[in-house]
Amino acid sequence: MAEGGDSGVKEKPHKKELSISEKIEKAVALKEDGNQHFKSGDYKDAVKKYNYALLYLKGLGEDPTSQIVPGVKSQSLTKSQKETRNKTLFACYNNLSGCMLKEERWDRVIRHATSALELQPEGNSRTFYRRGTAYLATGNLDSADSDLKRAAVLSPNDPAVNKQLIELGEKMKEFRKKEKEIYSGMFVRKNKITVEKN
Amino acid sequence: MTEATLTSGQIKLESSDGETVTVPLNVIKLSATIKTMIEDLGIEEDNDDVVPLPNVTHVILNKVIFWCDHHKDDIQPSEDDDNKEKRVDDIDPWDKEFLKVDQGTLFELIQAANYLDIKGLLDVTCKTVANMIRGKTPEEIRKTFNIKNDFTPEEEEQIRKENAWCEE
Repeated sequence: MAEGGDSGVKEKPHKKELSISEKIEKAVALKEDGNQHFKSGDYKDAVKKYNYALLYLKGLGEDPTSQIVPGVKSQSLTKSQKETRNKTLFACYNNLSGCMLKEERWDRVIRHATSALELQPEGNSRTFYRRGTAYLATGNLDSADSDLKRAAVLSPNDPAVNKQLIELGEKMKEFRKKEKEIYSGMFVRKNKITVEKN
Repeated sequence: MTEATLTSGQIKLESSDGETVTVPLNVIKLSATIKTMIEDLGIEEDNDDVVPLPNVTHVILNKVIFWCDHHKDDIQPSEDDDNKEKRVDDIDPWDKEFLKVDQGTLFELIQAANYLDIKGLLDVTCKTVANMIRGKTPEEIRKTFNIKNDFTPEEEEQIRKENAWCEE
């Protein structure tokens, strides 16, 4: 038992494994390819290329075993490899978030932008703009407020950011008005009940 | 896209050494890495794409798929379970049998579980390593995992003195 071979096609492997630098190169090429598709509005293929790039970079230079057993040798990346890896991972997540924004898939905009920000907490104006827009669309006004303000600081006078901030302002006004109505309604009802009891 | 759409269909994966494996989606959905990608892309019936998995060999990939197939109908652990105290003596007998492998394979399985983000497999493989450490002296641990002793005899004596209370 514990023989896991039965679900696969029995075929001799025919490819030599890529080295770490080859994997990073390939990921960067896939990301560039994704950017081309993104620019030409072909979001579906862009999403595919960015996801494939992630598959080349994930787990690279990470060795969970060395966290359990200190001293077990792990494959480590050079400083410049680490930099390229993280920069590319950030770009892929950030751009995936952009693709999802175009398709108005808000929960995925938020998920990918959050992954990007985990890698680079300072992010860039696009990351915050995209996530803020998704929060706004899904009615999470407080988070939208904080993200869109960050975007405005990073990219002042950006018309797209300003537009979202105006919309946010209107939604907040509307929300406060509704809130007021709800609360005042409550007191009216309560008074009535008291009167009836008496 | 919802969970329901991942109950049918299949996907082609290519290992780092160039072997292509076709896997049902309801098996490989245990990999959060692949599940996220599938949800991003949406599923097409006549999809001939081969998804590259350059950080796992075919031998390990097949074992991972075998594990996922056995566990595909398990109730998925919730976020809350992360905060629970971990036990190492609750490994399910099937997993115990599955993990009777040499140490190199066990470490590769941990790497693959991390790469593909398969929480259950990462948990059980890490517990297995923890059990290999438990109750062993430093010398025995070094021997088990082939770790070079990088302390000088003086340093070692010093540490032993400082930690004397541990050994009582």
